[in-house]
Amino acid sequence: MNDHRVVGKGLPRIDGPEKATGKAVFTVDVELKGMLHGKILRSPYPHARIISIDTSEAEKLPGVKAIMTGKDTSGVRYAFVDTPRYPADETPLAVDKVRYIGDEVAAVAAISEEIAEEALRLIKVEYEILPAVFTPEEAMKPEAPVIHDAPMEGTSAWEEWGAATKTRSYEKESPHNNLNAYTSYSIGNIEKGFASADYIREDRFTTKGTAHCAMEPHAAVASYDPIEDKLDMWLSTMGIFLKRFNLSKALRLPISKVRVRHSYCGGAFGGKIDAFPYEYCAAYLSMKTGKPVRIELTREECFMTTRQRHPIIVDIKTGITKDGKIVAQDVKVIADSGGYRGSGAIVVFLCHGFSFPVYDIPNYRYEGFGVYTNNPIRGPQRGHGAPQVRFAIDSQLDLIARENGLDPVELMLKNVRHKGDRLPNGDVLQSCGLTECITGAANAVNWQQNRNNPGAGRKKRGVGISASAMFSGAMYYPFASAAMVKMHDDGTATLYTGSQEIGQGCYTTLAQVLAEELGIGLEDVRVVAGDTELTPIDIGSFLSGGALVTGNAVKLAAADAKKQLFEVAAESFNVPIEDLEARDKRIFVRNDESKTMPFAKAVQLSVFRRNGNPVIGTGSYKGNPETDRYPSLAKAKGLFTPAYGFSVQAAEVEVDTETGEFRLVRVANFHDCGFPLNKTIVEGQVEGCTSMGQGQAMLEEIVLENGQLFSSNFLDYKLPLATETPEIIDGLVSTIEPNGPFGAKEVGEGALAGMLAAIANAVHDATGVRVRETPVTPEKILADLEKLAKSSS
Amino acid sequence: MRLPEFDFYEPPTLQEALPLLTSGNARIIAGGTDLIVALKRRLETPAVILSLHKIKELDYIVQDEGYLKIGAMTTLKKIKTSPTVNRLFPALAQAAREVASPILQGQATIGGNLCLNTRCRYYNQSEFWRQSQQTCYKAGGEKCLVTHKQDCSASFSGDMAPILLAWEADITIAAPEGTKQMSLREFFTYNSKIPNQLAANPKGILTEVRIPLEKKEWSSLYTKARLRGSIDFPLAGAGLAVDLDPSGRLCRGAAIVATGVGPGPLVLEAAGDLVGQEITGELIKSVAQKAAAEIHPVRTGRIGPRYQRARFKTLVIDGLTNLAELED
Repeated sequence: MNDHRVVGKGLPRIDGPEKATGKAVFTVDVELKGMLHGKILRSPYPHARIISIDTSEAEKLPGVKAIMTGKDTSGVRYAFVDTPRYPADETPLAVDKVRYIGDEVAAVAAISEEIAEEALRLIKVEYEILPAVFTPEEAMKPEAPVIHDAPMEGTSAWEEWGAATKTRSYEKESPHNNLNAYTSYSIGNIEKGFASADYIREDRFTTKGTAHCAMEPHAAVASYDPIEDKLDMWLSTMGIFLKRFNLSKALRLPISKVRVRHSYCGGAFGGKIDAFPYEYCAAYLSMKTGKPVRIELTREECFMTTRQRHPIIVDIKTGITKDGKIVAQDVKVIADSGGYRGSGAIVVFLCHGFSFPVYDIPNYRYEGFGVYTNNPIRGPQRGHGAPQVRFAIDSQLDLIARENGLDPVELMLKNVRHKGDRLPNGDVLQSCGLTECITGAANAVNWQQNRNNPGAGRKKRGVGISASAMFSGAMYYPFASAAMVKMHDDGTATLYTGSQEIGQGCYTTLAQVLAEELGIGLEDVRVVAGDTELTPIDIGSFLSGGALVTGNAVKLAAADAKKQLFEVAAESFNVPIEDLEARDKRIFVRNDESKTMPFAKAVQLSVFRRNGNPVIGTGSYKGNPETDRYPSLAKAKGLFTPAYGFSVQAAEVEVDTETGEFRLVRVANFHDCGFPLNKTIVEGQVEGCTSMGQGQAMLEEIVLENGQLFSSNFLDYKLPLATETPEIIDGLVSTIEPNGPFGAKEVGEGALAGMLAAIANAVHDATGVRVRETPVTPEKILADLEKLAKSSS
Repeated sequence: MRLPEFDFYEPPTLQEALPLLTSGNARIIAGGTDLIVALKRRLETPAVILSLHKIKELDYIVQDEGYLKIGAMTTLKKIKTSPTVNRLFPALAQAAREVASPILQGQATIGGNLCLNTRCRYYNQSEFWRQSQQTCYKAGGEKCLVTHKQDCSASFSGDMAPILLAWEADITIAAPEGTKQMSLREFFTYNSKIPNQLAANPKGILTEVRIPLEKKEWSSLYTKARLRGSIDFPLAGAGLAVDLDPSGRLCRGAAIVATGVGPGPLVLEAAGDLVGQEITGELIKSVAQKAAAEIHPVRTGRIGPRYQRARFKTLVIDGLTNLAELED
């Protein structure tokens, strides 16, 4: 590993200077000539039928250029998930009904934001208010109001693309009302498993919704050219090719007539990949007016309408033997999807997919229900199901350990999977640093000394631990990444990649991969990225596929360019190509120092001798090289991912037993990322995960009452501040994943997931209080401390 | 969210400012940290906004006639960093440090902080948000959406008032018809809907806060509980001041003032139990218990009233223990 020259080092980010000096252009900065401003009218009711919409007064307002309602787009359905089993259930604007507070009803384009906002006040909508339902368990009952009653007919996006054929609709199999997704899976024999257990316990854990809180609000700029019949879009997004696909289908434009460009994105965290009505509306309004249209959501709209993390109920039953082996686990997950499916079908799959790679449990049953309610829509968020389900599994494991006088760390070590294990779906763990992560994180918080040692004073200390797993990409549209490496006359290179810098540092890490493979410096690479017209396809910056999938494509493209340079040099030196090596922008002949050639010369020779070939390397890599199929969301079958990232979080807390207030003293976050392509960026990801996980464990909460959001700004939605930030010990565990470029795999999502249980377990260790619903707050702790005091007196 | 339309005046002198108040439906803007948000949310739609920003005569900290006098437009940043304040009334500097965050402290003023509107989860929301609900009592509706009574329960959450009340500070109000002194206690109405004398259609401008200099001998502190170490309003706050005899034990005078838990900053009677007594840990506990029984928080924010009361009690215990220099 030490012979790497560029990867593995904490090199400065190539987007750093642009961002630090304010030159970087984000979507909210895009200004086009004659640009109009769009605003969206939203439903103030959680469930209502639209009787009529009167836009006549708004149309008369000077400066208003176009107004659209559901009538203009009727028949168009689109969604993040659009498969035969789970057909798209959203319309860009409400057609018949509104299903949550914030549902889009009409959109206006005007010459200024003020006029557009004023026009919204003039649109009159008559609603018939319908009974609404706000908890998934209520919604599943037969007497609950039905939220989606219209048939979802038509050809799904995945059928259109040819990736899927018609299968049975999930609805036919559902015994429950308002179900929008169902996943079931089992291995072994659950009854026999429990029969063989010496100790069994059942618990319920629940998590609250949380917001992504990207600094840059969601924004879209659309510019339609009627002469070319071509749509140009700038989006603050994580997946330009998925966006292009969804928009072309919804707008009924050929895919080649939609160009999606990515400006810098001021944070995403999973919240900028779902199919959003504001994007469609910007496009439609531009097509209607022939002028560019910009829609930037307000912070309130971001909180309310751009998806939240799923609030999830986990019922979990686990059986262990005397010596601490988990022999059976039964997990039932109910995810509140809100008014539309969003990523409901994915999250109930991932709650299984992200949990079963951690512990090896011979008898295991999983059931996941995605349920419609009249709450805001839920979508992907960093970890997507993992934090919720890991909170349940590892909170319960901690309880099991306490009840049986076992050490939770010992219990984890006894049950975790190892390198070489084959998962029940067929995925093989070609790298797995779980054991190293557990021992590393435990040691970093002095586990043995600090456990069961709260101290005698008013302030009690405790430690807790939890683990998680995460995919490194999977098979989802567009299923692959490709890359192009263009050589220049001076021996430097430009990388063309469809990946998007969303703050995660991929331009830098991908440039490092290129530089390492080709034998040039990071400063010799320029990156052209994020433009569906200029760059090859890319899987997108979500599901943690960037480093592995796109990284491999870039590595292969660089290798292809290098091979072409070597071919020219081999011919010139009259040596076999295998004898050549490259570094510092030069080609060397092994064991013959006299023969060397700068890349610049090789490029020149290629142009002269190979019919003008200027050397362009290409490479591509599939979301999962092992399979041509995407995994079944419903049956959880098929290969999931080429590599799993693993991580373990250990937390130390100090609880004031008079107030319930607690301080997160220290977090040890150990992540098996395979190999850190850029050490500083990986540490940044791990620290970001720590902070986000801390917030979701201790402070953050989407507060809803009858579908209405009480936390739609940064005063009411409590993100952790610098004042709350603990000492963070990053532990990078290097396992060298054979499928990854230079051994790299996922980092950036999984390291959040264990924070919830680690903190809840630490609070229990300190005080004896068990909080079963996130966030773990002083209010809940004090209430329980009072109860404990009462019962002991 | 955009601002509504209004006429904006920023006169350079108080003399020019006062006549503008008579135009009706005017609002005064000092630092604007409270008002601008309310305007964007259309909680306030005044015809006129009168800015005090250019009135330099309202920005000062001086000792005069037995008082520490602070101009209403003095920023909290200036107060927290003022050597005079830190020498005479360090608890005031500390209270200023507890307000919101350092960035807001540079903008917010002491006058504005005293005039802070009361807050409630049903009231401090956007125009769009409020469409989903009936109009709350504070916003002109029939009933309070928290208590369902024909009354408002919005909570006062100013951080500067408690300690100033503990010192029996007073204020100066300038009006077209003349200038008058008013005790702070009189200034607060304890009516959540109209929390102070200048809240609805102000007929005057708060120009000065005066703290009697003899109070500098008291041991004082402002203590605040909030969810995070910065930014947040108090879920409970207490201004505490005790006059201890030179032995440091006998209490000659005491004040306990609560914030964040009621319609205004509440001067609590429980403090009376300290006066004439030797302060002990036990006495502090009983006083805190009594003080906590005097507050009646309702669920106007994210935190439940039960926790607010318990937390307030601990604030008082810890604060008084600290002031009396007792061991924990």
